[in-house]
Amino acid sequence: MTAAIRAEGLRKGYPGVRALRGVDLEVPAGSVLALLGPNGAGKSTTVRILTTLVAPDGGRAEVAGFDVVRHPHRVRAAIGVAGQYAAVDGRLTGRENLVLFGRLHRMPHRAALRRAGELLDRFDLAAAADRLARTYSGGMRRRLDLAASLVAHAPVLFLDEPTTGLDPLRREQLWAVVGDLVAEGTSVLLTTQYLEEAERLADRVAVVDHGRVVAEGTAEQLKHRTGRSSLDAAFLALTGAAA
Amino acid sequence: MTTVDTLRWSAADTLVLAGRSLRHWRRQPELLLLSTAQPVLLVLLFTQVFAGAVATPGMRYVDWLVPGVLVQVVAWDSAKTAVGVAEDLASSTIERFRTLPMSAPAVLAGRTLADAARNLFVVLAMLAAGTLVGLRIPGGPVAAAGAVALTVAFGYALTWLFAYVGLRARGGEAALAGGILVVFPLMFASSALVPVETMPAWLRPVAAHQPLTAVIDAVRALLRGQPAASAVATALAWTAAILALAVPAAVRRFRKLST
Repeated sequence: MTAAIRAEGLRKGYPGVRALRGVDLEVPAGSVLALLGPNGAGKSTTVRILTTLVAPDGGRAEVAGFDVVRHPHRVRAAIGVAGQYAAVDGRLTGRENLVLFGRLHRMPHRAALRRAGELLDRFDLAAAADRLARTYSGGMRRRLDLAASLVAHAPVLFLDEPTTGLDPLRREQLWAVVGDLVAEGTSVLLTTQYLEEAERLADRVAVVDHGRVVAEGTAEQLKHRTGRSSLDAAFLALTGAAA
Repeated sequence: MTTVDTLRWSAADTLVLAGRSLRHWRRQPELLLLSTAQPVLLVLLFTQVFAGAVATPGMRYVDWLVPGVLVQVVAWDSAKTAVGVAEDLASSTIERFRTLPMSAPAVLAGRTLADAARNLFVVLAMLAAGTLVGLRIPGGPVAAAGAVALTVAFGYALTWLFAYVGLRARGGEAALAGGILVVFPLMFASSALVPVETMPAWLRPVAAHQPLTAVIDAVRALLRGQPAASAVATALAWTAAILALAVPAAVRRFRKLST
């Protein structure tokens, strides 16, 4: 099976900081990998490299079979990106936001409009479709943001802390949506601070700390390896955050 | 993709993003109305307040002033491009666009195109206000259209300059402050409000040879129906020079966001 995402030895430094010190990752097609780690561990930098936003200092990465440095355009055509900083345009309606993304994915106007309608229905936003996005609640904005990342049927999806700041009910709803996408064959790289989220959505978990992957495996394997009964405890043991 | 395809897609992306900006204004008609009312007010006020005090050789003050305020306001308005770009950058809208398979410079080209459309609207409103207070256009409609086109083209060049400022600034307010710092001296040390000859000796050469004065003089000559070829050539040269400098600088800066 080909990998949806493969990274080897990714390194990235900023003045005074070594954000990544050799990150290796693999997400088999159709599976979900959770990147788990404390703030500043390198999760976001990893995602930014894989989504072509920043170039790595060293190492290489392929997404959907394309090198992120040499073929960023190809990578962008194959990915969807959604995250905690829902970058929806508050001065456009929900529908207009989705049509905008469709058009920038170079869909004809009519097709973009049709796709927007489908997604609005699917994400339970049809009733609010023609309201300005700035009037949306946090949960609605997050759903619109996720919908925008799916406009072009991206086979590889990046979710950067998708439920941070959502109440438990909204989180549960978003998890259900992501579960459906995975069932349809979408590959997902998820960053999260919630162990429950990783355990619930991910096939495998990669624990990132100080710019490195310190452990990788299924939640069960990680528990087993650390001798801890919960992923919480295993996580703390792996990142050395507790005695 | 061939070069032709690339260009065609860049143009399509630019139009889509210009449409986004135009929608923003449609959503806040009061903003567009107010930003048009201000320059109109300037035309009405300046012609009444300064007319008695400023001697303009061989012409009525209103005919002197309106071209000046026209170009002043367009220069001022183009500084708003810096704010829009900086805000998109701060709100991670631009970051999101950069994960899309779109043409990167279209993010800037779309905004500057929309801002040019807004400038056209404002310029026409100011000309209308000018005629209300007695502006005459002996140059005729063709020359007037040329004057409008020249003003908007110059403003378009400036919006690229300010797109660059917006990409360098941290946040919308810093961008605005930086923009004002550049524009303000140019607006007033020019032939917009008073003849350059009335200024102190040290300022005169600067005021006479800066881009706003060049464009103002060309617009004035066009509206008055005077020989304008050399003034227009100078104004177009400034416009082209600013574009040649600012477009590559802004696009390069945009691409450098990825390091």
